[in-house]
Amino acid sequence: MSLLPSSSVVSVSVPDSGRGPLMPGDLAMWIFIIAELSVFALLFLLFSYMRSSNADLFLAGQQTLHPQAGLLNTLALLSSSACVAQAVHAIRQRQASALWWLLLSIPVGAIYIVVKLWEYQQLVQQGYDLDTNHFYTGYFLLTGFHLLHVVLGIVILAFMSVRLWRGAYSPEQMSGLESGACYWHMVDLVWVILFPLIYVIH
Amino acid sequence: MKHPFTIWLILILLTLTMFMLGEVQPSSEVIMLVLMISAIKGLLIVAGFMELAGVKHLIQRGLMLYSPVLVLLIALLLL
Repeated sequence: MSLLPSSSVVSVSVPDSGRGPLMPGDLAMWIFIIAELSVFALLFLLFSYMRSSNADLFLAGQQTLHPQAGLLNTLALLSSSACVAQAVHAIRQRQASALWWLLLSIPVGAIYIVVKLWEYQQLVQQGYDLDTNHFYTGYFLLTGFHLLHVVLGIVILAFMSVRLWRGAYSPEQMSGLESGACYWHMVDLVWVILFPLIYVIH
Repeated sequence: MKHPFTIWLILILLTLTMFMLGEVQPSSEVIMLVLMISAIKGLLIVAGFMELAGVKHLIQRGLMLYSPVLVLLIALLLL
């Protein structure tokens, strides 16, 4: 049982080893982010290796995708991330607009989910699925795993919006918000490498 | 971070440039250019959106290296 009432617990940013700005957010979230990025890195390298072994197969698979949908998803994720970054900035400036920026990030990020599900539907209707060949196995596994992270990110953004609305965050106590924001930016970071690997590089 | 939307604008421009490069005749140079743009975008997200620019911490170094190293390994596998 905690000896302190919950209202007296103050979030503390991760201390750094020298001078300069502090790490935003909680150390636990950064360790989680590093672990997630490591898994994605292994999947990217595996996908690239499979691609170099079956170049024609992967090129043929790429022709069945919708690059414009990939572009739209990139713009959606980047814009949603910018809204979250703006919300963090607004809280530090004690601006009331923080809640609106955070709320805006949710529908903008949700565009990704809608477009990705539409893409899956198109591919399945054409008869492509996880078992069709190595390209589709890689495509569905990579994008599906990423999609799960986007869904979790949207849930986190909604949770943070409710907490912000209730006044839980302030410039002095916003470690939780920074952690959630950094998770959402990680989802973005993964996609900026996934997008060219799957849609752009031929 | 003082100007999130400046970073956003640069990221959008880089994305559109990358997308247009994907439309041209494929070559090793184009692939390298596309991967380089990806690495730059990754760095911008880590330094700008994640606010790790100037932070002195092992995690910051790891994340700043993430996209350049990963992109380099991908390039070695693809080219």
